[in-house]
Amino acid sequence: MELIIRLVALAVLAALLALLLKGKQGELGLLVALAGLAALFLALAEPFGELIAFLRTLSEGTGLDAAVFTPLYKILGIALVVHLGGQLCRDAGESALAAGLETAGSVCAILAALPLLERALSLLGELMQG
Amino acid sequence: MDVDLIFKIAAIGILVAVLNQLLIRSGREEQALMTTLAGLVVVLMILLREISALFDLAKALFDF
Amino acid sequence: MRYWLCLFAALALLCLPAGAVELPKELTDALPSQAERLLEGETGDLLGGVSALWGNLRQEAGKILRSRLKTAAGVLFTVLLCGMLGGLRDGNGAVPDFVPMGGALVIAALTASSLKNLVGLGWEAMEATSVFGKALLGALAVSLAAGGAVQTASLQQVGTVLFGTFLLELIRRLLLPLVYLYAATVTAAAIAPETPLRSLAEAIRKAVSWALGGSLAAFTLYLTLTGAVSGAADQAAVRAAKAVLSGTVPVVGGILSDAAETLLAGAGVLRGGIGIFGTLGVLAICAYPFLHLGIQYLLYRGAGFLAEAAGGGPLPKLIGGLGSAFALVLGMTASCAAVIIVAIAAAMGAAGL
Repeated sequence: MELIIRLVALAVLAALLALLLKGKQGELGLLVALAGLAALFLALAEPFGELIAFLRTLSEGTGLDAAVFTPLYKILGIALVVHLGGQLCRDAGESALAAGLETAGSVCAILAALPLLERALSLLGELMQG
Repeated sequence: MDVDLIFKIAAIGILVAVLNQLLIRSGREEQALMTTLAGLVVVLMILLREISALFDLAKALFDF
Repeated sequence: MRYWLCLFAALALLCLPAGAVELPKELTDALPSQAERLLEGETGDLLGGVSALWGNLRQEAGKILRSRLKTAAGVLFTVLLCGMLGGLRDGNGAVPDFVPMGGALVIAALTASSLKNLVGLGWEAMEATSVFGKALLGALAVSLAAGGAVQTASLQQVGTVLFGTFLLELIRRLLLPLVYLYAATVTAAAIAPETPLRSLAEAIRKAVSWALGGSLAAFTLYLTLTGAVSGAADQAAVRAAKAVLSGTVPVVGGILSDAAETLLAGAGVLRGGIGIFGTLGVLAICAYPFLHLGIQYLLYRGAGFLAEAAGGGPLPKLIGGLGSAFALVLGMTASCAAVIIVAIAAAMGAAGL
């Protein structure tokens, strides 16, 4: 509980400071927001690590091939990063950049999913013949 | 320690803003622009360090 | 098992008045050993046999449940992961949602291997049923002929054998590939929800159901035309056809109980030796795949509901669709079993019992 309060305080603080700078030094304001994001995630690192460990034991407990989940993790990471980055671009007033970033994100996600796609296709081929 | 980062950058930002205002008021706009740029570069360097730390963390967590 | 069967056959010869109830060796040979194991403890009448079967099955059921649970857990885990980022998805722009796409691919990959396993299991059962059924019908025809109904016996036997072979070929060449196609289409539909892939998938599913149900209905019609099919067998077969048409699993249990009911109603003690053994044999052969497929289907349905509750998106429908694929395979196995059981019932009817 106290973690989230800390994080909220962090975020609000960063927002305030960014707002402060937005008037005269908009660029630095954006960077403050970015710094806020970085601080937020760094603070989350430890609990996130626990979560990942838990998820890992879960996925091992299912007894399934863990490699299946790696592309999924990558895609989740890409989605998160692209979303945040896109929002930052929009805050800077560059919605074109944001849209481009989202498209790039889709492409990277598909790239990351490629091993999965290959596996699915090969399985399908096997099934069709058998 | 996380708050420090934000404070640091915000402090640089405020400093740059104030300097800018001063320089513009006294008519030295090119130098104002340079201060802004310098501030940006400094902040970016700090941030880059933090963000690369983040990425290393992510890599360690997910074994990319 | 063999020992008991021979003993039983000998006893039957002693106690029962008419006809040769000696179970021919080809018949007992045709029963695969796994099915034999399941029938251990059979007491020689239908009810006893079914309860022995059920008792043996219950022990296996726990194991099966646990192994099937793994895939379902993996699927749910994927949904959980994708749901975690659900909050982000009040997205901007017309960029396609790649998180559900990744999730769909992972779920498909997870399901594919168990689908392959279970289809293999079902197919083995279908083939075993066919082999066993041929031996069974041969024995039945012999005893029918001995009882005097030569014409009907041979017509029914020939018809059933032909039909059984036809059904097997249909399943192997057309229906099973269609099931794989269905699974693939359902996955693609989850990845690209705007396209009409979903309706295509539904069309495939209905086509398979219809093909199965239609074949069963045609078979029943044939039997009705060629001989004295008792009213109960008729109804049971029609119900069986209807059940496969609707494609829901809980009713498959209904098919089996209907068939058993038919035998109880129609068969007496006599000729019951082969008929009962035949029904029990078919049930035993199919029991294991039924359990696997049924449990997998139910687990996927459950996972689909949970996924729906955890947040929408295309994933719950995908899970439901994949569950239907399992149900289709179950329906196919059930149809093969139903063919033999209905033929037995018809033979009983023709023998005037």
